[in-house]
Amino acid sequence: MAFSGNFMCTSFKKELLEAGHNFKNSGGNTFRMALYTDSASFTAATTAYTSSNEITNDAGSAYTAKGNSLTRVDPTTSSTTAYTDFADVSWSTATFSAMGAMIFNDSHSGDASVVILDFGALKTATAGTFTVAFPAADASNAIIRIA
Amino acid sequence: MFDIDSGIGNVTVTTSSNGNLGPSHWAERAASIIISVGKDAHPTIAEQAKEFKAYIHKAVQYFIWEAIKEDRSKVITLLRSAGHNDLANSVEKL
Repeated sequence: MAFSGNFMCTSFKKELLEAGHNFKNSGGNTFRMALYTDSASFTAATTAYTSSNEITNDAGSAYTAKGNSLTRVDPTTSSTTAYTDFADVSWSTATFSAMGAMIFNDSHSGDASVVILDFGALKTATAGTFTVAFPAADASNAIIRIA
Repeated sequence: MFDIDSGIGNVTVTTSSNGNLGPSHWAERAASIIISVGKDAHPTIAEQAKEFKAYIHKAVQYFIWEAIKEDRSKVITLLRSAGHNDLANSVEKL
């Protein structure tokens, strides 16, 4: 297994301090989710989107390179924790498998990576729907949190 | 010096084969977004929230089905008005 858990990319943390990412719903950057096979090898040191080991369709054309764009939810806070969220993302009439995903900033020069997500197992859709649901948007579970 | 701690949540992947995810799945997602029960919530409050979440699930699922029926009705009407009665009959049987 090439995926070994979820990672927040170290380069992303640095870029946050450089105001390199904007998660606001209105006027924010374009973030995308790309899907990968088990051959992908990502760590916290991953810095950018790559087409290497990105999935392809076993049939049909539901998936295209760079995956789907994400709908941003305004960052907010709870107590001392700040967090942001995305709307669930789906591919319909999908026939493909994926082991994990990368969220990256398509607006950032070089397609800077944000987080690496390990699905925990190979997920397959066959002439169906492939949907990725984000966790509850709160201080304990949100997809990206800073405390 | 200030320490900043970061965290990543876990996504959930759901797939289907030879069909789409049904209204129950989408109703569950809607209910999960509308109602979130904190892990530290008082048991009585948590129980009430779970009951309310189940109610939201049922309500959303009902209206998803109603919307599907409305949409199919529209498709059937358009097909009939275009003279495609066979197709309209097929959609009506879904």
